Amino acid sequence: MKKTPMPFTLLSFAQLLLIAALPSASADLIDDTCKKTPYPDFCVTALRSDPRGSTTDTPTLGLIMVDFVDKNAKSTGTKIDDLLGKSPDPGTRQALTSCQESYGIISSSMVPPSKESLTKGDYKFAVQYMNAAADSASKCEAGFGGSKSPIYDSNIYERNAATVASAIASSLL
Amino acid sequence: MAEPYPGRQEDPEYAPLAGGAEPGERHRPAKAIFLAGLAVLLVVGVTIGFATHESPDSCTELNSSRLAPFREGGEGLRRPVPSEAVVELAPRGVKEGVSAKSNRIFAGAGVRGFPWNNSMLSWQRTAFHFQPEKNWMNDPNGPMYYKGWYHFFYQYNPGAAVWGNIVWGHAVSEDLIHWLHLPLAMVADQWYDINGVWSGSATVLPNGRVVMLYTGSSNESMQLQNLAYPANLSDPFLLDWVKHPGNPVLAPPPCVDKQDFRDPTTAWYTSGGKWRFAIGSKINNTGVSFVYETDDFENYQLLPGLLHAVPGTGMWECVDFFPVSDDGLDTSVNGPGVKHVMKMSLDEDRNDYYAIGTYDEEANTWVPDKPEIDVGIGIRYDYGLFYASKTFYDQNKRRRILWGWITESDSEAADVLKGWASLQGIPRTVVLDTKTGSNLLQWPVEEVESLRLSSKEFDRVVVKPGTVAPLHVGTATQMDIVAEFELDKQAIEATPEADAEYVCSTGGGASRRGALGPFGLLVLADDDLSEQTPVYFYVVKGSNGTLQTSICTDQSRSSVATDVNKQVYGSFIPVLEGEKLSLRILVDHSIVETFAQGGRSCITARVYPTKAIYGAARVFLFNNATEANVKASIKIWQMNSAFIRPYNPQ
Repeated sequence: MKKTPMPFTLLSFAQLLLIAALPSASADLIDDTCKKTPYPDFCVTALRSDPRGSTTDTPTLGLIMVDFVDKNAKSTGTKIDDLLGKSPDPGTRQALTSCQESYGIISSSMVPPSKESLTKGDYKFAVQYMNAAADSASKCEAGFGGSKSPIYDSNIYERNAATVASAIASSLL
Repeated sequence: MAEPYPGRQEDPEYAPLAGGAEPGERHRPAKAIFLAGLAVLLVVGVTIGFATHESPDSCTELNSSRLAPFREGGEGLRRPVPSEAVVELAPRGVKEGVSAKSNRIFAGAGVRGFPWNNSMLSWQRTAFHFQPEKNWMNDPNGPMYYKGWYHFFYQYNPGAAVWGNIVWGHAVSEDLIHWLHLPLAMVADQWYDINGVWSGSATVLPNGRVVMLYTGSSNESMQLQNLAYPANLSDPFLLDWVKHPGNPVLAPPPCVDKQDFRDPTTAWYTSGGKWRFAIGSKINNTGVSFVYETDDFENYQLLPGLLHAVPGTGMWECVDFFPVSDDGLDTSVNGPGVKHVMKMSLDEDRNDYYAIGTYDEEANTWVPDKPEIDVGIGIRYDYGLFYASKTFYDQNKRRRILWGWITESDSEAADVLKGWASLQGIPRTVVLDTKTGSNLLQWPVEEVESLRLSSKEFDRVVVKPGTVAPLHVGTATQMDIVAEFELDKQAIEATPEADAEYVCSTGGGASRRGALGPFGLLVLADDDLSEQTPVYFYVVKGSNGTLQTSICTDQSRSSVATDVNKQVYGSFIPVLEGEKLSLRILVDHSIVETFAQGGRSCITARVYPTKAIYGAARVFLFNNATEANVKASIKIWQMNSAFIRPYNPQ
């Protein structure tokens, strides 16, 4: 049998190594980036669940997280509409209405500048507006007077996602 | 035997080949050719290297060992600041993922947002500070004086009260106070600025020509520098602007990220007959300033080296570079004995830093007088909210004027509800403090005094420890306050030396009493002091009896709302022999600007009371020191509105 030329064998081996190395290169970026955030486990899980998570570009990881903030804000808004439709008591109604306004503002007014900031490289605005979104989510939860709100999980998720997005942007400053 | 090299003279004695091949080794022609080829390449490469070394640009030089410390620059290289410097660094939270602005998140976490109503929100709009009718504003751009009018441009979002979709707003004034809003000067309509018409500066040329250099965020989100100029130089309002057909004039140099290259300065004219401007960037974590040179503002050369760099400071936004003396100086002034100010906006902590030093035009370097308070690790223009600031030389009155962006410190949600965000500070003159030689003096432009209406004077009032005295001045939401204070000398002498320094941000505000402070004024306070914003001096007797003075603005009780910033801002301030403690405070609804010791230290705060508004706002004199009387002389003027409005041709 004809002997395989040495250079060809070497090249094939090198290609295999490269292919094996690539995913771990971007997985490292997620790990490295999430380490710098207050909720690293949450951060890693969320980013790995998105196909764009294999990026080698940190701002893209920030954008993915801002998208999660946005999606959650919209779905929470829907949940609130639902709950308001079930005739809650006045205290709950007031808190839910206030949250509805807050989540609307997150989607309309905090997500767009955060995305623009991460895309265009002036990162301080993503830090500012994602912090504001996290703050809004916390305040929404607090509006239910200390007991767990009917949208507790959504509020916690929003706070976590926005805090992580802010931290990612901050690491780019 | 075959000849190894055609054309080689036959020589019975072989010279050894490179690599030490022995005579007699044969059948290696390929290897010999390969090695000869390498040698040729090496010679060619070295020749090219020497040839191009004639004019290395900054990027090439940055690979040299001379700048190695900058390349490795990181957090560990930030030098500690000595206590006697006029500094009070903002909380370094941003690196850890928490902005200074978000401190209130953790302070108020778990507390409901305040139920703001329209009355409270509309009160917040100012009467005599520059702001557009609505929506978001940030950096001042291209300030200049032209044909009898002061021009002011600014970063503006035409569609929302949050940052984004940035274009250039425009306004004119004859006196820096009464502004007329004009149509937008530049919008995002070219591929090179379609993603944002970002900040820039004007250069007024001696022949009357005006050039504007600005940063565009391109269709690929790259930061490019562009040239624009007035469409019609005979229009004093400079309504229309032309973008140079050859734009962009500059792309980022290869050694920096394409998104770390923005905010070109006003140009200065060199002794070599060229124009130069500076622009900030970062390399790893070292903040840097490049300089470009041009004849025509269309073609540029990147000068070798860096004007300046400071490790560990990160991205330098809004660089400013200008000569100072005890008078205003044109940007092109230079010469032995002329000092230059290097200034930048630190992206990492949203503060503006400056330092005073010496410019070497030939070497293209600027060196700080005091490296321990170099730019970014030393003095700030303002110890409150003040960012992206920019100066210009006013040829009309021969002074240097400083503009600064004053952001909001309430919640972004409240900004959306009220429909606007941000102010500009009152323009300030800037001169060198010749008494200390190591800082600038900033002072509101004298034209603001044209707004003064009636005044009330309180002469040499003795205020005992623990006293809060109302000052009956009528409405207390638009005021110009000038005050002087003297601590009782005997009390000073009797006070023992303190073992700790006082730092405004951690000092506990106006309610924490010391022997010789705090004392000063309470502004935007209501009758029962449930809301109050103290502006105060705090004096500490240090080792060997020397007095250390701080000036602070305390927001901790400025509002019962929890979703506003509650920090105490301020700094240490040098007080020289024989000087009284002096304050000037401009109060204009939701902004309080403080100037201490003739402008040696400045503090701008945004304040959002819910009760101490409209007719319920009061001003008080207070002395919360435990050991010393304070003698105060105060004059307070009511301030008129500046009636800032859109230009109406009728």
